[in-house]
Amino acid sequence: MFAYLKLLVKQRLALWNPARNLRNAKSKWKVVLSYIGFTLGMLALYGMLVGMEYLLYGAFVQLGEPQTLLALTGIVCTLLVIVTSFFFVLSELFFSRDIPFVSALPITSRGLLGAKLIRIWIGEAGIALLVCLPVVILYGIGHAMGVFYYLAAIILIPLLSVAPLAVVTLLSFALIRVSALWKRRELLTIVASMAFLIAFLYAEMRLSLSAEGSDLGALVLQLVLRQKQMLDLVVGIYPPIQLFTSALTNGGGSALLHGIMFAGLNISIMAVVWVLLGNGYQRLAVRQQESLARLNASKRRVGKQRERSPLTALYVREMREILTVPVYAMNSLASAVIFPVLFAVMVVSGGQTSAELAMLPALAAMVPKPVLIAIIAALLTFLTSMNMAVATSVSREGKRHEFFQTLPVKPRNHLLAKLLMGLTVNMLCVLPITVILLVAIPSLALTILLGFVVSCFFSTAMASFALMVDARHPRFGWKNETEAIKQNGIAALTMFGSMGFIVLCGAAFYGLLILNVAALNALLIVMGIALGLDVFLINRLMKTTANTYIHQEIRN
Amino acid sequence: MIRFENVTKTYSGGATRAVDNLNLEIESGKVFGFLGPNGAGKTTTIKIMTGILQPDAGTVWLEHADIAKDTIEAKRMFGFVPDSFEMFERLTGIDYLRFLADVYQVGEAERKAHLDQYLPLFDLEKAIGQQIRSFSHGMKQKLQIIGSTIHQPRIWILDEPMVGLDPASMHVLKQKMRDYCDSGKTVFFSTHVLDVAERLCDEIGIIRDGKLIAQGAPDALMRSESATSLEDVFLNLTVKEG
Repeated sequence: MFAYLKLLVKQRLALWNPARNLRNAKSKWKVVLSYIGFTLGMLALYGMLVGMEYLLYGAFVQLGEPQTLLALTGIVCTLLVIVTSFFFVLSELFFSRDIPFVSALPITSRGLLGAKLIRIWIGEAGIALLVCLPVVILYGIGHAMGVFYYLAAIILIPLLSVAPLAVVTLLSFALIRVSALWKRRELLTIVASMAFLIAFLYAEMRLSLSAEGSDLGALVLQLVLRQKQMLDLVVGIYPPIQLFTSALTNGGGSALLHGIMFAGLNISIMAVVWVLLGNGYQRLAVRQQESLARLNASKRRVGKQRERSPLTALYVREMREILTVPVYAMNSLASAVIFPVLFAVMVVSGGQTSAELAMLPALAAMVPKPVLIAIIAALLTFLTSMNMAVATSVSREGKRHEFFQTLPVKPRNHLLAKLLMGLTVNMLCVLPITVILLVAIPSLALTILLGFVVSCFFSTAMASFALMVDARHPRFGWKNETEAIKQNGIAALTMFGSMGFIVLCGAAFYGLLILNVAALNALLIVMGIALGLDVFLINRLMKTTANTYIHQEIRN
Repeated sequence: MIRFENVTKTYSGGATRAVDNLNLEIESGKVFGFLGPNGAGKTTTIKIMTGILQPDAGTVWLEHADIAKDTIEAKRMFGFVPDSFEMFERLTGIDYLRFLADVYQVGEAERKAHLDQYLPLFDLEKAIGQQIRSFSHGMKQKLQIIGSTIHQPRIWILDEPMVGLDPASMHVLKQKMRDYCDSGKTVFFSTHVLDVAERLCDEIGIIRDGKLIAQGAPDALMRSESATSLEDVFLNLTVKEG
């Protein structure tokens, strides 16, 4: 088991090994600069997180409950693991390409499952440490905590992700077992994963809405009078976090006891899952791979051979890939499904949200129309900023890039097909929510439609930029589809860059308003900038970048 | 016709010369076998002539098109079977062929005629509607062979085409390669199967350390090296002393 674990970790580290990448690079300067750029980008992002936590900590100190922020950060990490790792765990355990290979090795089934889970946990624990440490340090300095506090934090924070990982593992086993009964298992995987996320987010939302709704005034009074602590509210979301917080903030034997209880709880939940599922894991994973081939062997009718243009053929292939590969669909279309469904459920289910919606036209009347259009455009554009489909479209070619290089198609058509795919994905994300908004607030129909049109200018610029970055810095060397779309650092940076672009445009719009520029003129100016950017980026994409793209070499 | 003029490709900042000043001309209507030990530069040469890699120096002509300048025209000239199948695993076989036919702009009647001829020949009629990832290595290889000729290219380039093929399919492939040349087109293929090269090729090129060290008809090469088989010629020329 440990030999396999070592292999998994080494393989992961090798992807980021600067020495190795430098050795294989054509231009060493480019590699060095890209590493510096990537490091600076990551530091900037992390700096933003630290800054935000610093501000929050100050606010919680003012409230007299700094320990609540420790609990909140712990809960954020727990939720992050559940929301983000579900599909990762599923694909690592059951869709990974190394399953046939490792199944032939003399490693027990439990050993395999254990190694894979530890490898996933190492990644999640690292993220938890990064998220929690700033708050832990702030609290430690604020309360002059001793060395045992920091030691306990370093031990307990990585354990935050253990129990959620166990739950996600259990769910993924259940999904694979159930899907064995269905022929369209990949479709089921996509639908079930989306349904899980929707159900989870909806439950969280209902919980917080009902908490607010149920006598909010009394709750505030209790908080003000110090009859109730905010910590009690936070702990209500995930009770084990009480143990985590007390282990860090209490002193002496109580802290030790709570720490042991928190660690014991997490480890024992994972141990139960590992013992229960470990023995059957290998059999299930191999059966899953076999049945994949068997089910796919069901013959499809060979239809009529209709002609299509090369551009259409490339576009159809791009779209087909996004729609049929579960991990691609989940990462590209989640916002197309989750947000509209959640929004529709809230509207249909009535209650407070519906009442607030009914008040919206009256509220909107108080805001200048161009400002409202800008807000709607910003919201819709934000949905498209998470478009990983276009940001990884060149990288996802992997070694097949060489195949594309041999095709008699103009390089710009390759990129145009990818851009069209990206814009289609954008539309799939934005159109449903636009339609729901139109249905929910028909009196603002024109404003919503204009907001939609304006958002198209911005999302086109963002998609073009993301594609340009990926075409210039593709990462072809992935081993599985999860790596191709989820573990692409440059694509992630591009995504954050897109979000930054929205903020920047918002700031420019606000700045113009402050400078007494009329709202409509301010909107037109910002829109003009976006349009200019569209023209510039698409032009560059179709010329210089297309040339760079077609000459990208795959290095082993 | 295929012509390499002073083609050079280096790696690691010029330290490794994968292809070293290669000059080679292959006339139309010939089967050309490209031989060499592992790492000699065969695949790099093929990647240069298919436009996958850019040479540091030199020109490759495919018929009358320079692959670096008239790229699209040159790419229409050839069909290519690579040595490894990194393809679209979730597409069905027929979807893959349809994609290629669309990209090469092959008409409905032509693509139907091609499939009617080749699918039974390679025994892929039943499997063609299945996803490619359910295919065996040999089936994937056969699919690539069918796809590479869907547009009836003037030049057929194959990198290690025999690997993974069953004897029957290997026989069909050799027959097709011969037929292809007999119709005035060119076949360029790399292989390690020297028996096949000896019997099938009109001309042989042997490469070592990126340099073309021998070229000619198999009989002529055997005579010049006083050898009784192509294997002897190959061993004489490529096995380094010491």
